[in-house]
Amino acid sequence: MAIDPEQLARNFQDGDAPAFADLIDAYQERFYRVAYRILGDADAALDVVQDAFVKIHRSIEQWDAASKFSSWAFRVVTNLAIDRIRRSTRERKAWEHRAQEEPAYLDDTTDAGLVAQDRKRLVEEIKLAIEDLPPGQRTVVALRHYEGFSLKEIAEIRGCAVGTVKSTLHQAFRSLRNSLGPQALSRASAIQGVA
Amino acid sequence: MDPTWLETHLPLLRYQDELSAEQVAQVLEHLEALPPGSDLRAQLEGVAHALDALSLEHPHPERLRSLKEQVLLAVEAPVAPGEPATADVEPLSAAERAQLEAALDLVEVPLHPGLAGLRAAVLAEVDAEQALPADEQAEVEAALDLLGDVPLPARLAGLRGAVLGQLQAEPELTAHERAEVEAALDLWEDVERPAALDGLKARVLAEVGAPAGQLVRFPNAFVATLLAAAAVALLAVGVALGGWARGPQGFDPHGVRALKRTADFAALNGRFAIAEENYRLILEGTRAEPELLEQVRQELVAIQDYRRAQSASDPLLRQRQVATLLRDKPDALVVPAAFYHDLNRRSTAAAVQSQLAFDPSRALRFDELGVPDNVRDILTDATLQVILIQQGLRWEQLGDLIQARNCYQRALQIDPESEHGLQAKHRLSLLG
Repeated sequence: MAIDPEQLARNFQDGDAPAFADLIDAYQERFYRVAYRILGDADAALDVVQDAFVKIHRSIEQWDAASKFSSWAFRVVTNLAIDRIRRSTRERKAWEHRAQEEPAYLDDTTDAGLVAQDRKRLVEEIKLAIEDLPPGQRTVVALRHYEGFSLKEIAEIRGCAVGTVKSTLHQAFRSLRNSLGPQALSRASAIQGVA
Repeated sequence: MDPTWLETHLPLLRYQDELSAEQVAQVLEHLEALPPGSDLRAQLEGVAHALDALSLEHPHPERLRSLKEQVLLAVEAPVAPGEPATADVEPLSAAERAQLEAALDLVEVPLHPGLAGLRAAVLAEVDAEQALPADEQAEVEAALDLLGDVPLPARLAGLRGAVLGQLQAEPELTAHERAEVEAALDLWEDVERPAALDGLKARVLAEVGAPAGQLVRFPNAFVATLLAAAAVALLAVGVALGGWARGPQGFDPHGVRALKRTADFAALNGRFAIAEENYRLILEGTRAEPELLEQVRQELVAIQDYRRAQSASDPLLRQRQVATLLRDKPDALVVPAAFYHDLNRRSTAAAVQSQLAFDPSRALRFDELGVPDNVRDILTDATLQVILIQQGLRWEQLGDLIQARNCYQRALQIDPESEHGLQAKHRLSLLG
């Protein structure tokens, strides 16, 4: 039976060194998903996850076992991802590069092909819109929309008040709405309806 | 109906675990009551659908496997010679080092050529140390934060309160500190300057030696040097330009602009008395442009208004009054932002002194712009725009045009047609 990850963290903090490898197994995919949603690039996300685990190993003494390990650990991940955004200008190129790698649907004029074209265009638009969000807003969207953390959990992870998270989420949605514009929003709803 | 309440809660309709049944009904009721309500909901759904369209790129399984191996290798690597083996000394990671370097960039204020060398000196010290204990790193970062008075990196947000709580104002300078201050002043020796600067050194030393002086003692000599030099430099620039620009017939246009920059700079660093004095000197000038004079008048009025707002004896009431002014009077450009930073500092200090900072449920928290929660809900978009524009100007002053553009673009995004939106647009056009 799998051990509760929180218990694994306590064991590791208490000196059970092998528990760290189990912690990696328990968290690496979730860490990756969050980092990817913030950074939009697989390689960058993997780098952040690796740095995060190393940091967690070295700083485990700083985790207050009275609080949730996952909140502390995701704070490490999100902070590293935010740091990376702030100091990296390569990220924009990564998004652009990935956009170019999307399969081409433009020659397909069947109904399914037209939907695929719309979806491709929408994906490019939403990527650009997310890229324009400040790192904090991206993080809140990643944690709430994609990973299903509650506002309270996000507040614990980010070390801020629930009201701040709520307000940040609102600002993010407003910015996305303004960036995408009414046409893209209608197209998104239509595509979702087809799907 | 409060449209802000509706807009804030609208996205949560998508995540219904966040809203009680009563709140859901309330949001829906509001939506139905407003003609554009249905559009708002459709737009919300559109944003959510657009986000859903972005798929997750799964890493190659081999990459995930090798990630685990690399992490285990990294954490099991032997401790390098000379590196402390104890776990409480954490080496600077590449990311942390990059962040420290970025923070040190703040020191490169164009007005003071001597400060450029300090950055290299600090980095050399970091190199020599290889690893800084966490508390010393925090002090370095806090010192740099005090110098720059710019928004903290998100991960440092919690440090501000903790560090401010430990700081002690120095009533008198020790001989060593005095020597450091004097050495910092000597940085000006190689700058060509007019005779008006004679006596500057004595005036500045009198200022920093006064009981209200804000020099702070740090255990690391290089941090103390950094702080002392920067504090003196800021003051010296203010005093120097004040004397420099004045001629027998008042100020020439160049001098007026220099004096305005000095006054703005002083205000941004919380030296409102110097700012006020310099703004008044500008008003006495005879050749300033009317537009600039009007701006200066607004800044002076703002200083007076904010001082009145701060006269309440209850600290929380005082904060509230200043916050209300920030909301209602964003017409002056510099002073509101300066008082806003001052409000932040006071909020933090109040929280630390009353030990609220140690109670997470009651601690003051700050959002990305550094706005405390107890103020955030009464700030208008216009005020946020002013803050962003001011931050942009500050970044320009510090030479970071990328950050400056980012601030202006965010201000523009809030409301492109407003007065401050147009200001942001203008700044962006100047930056190219």
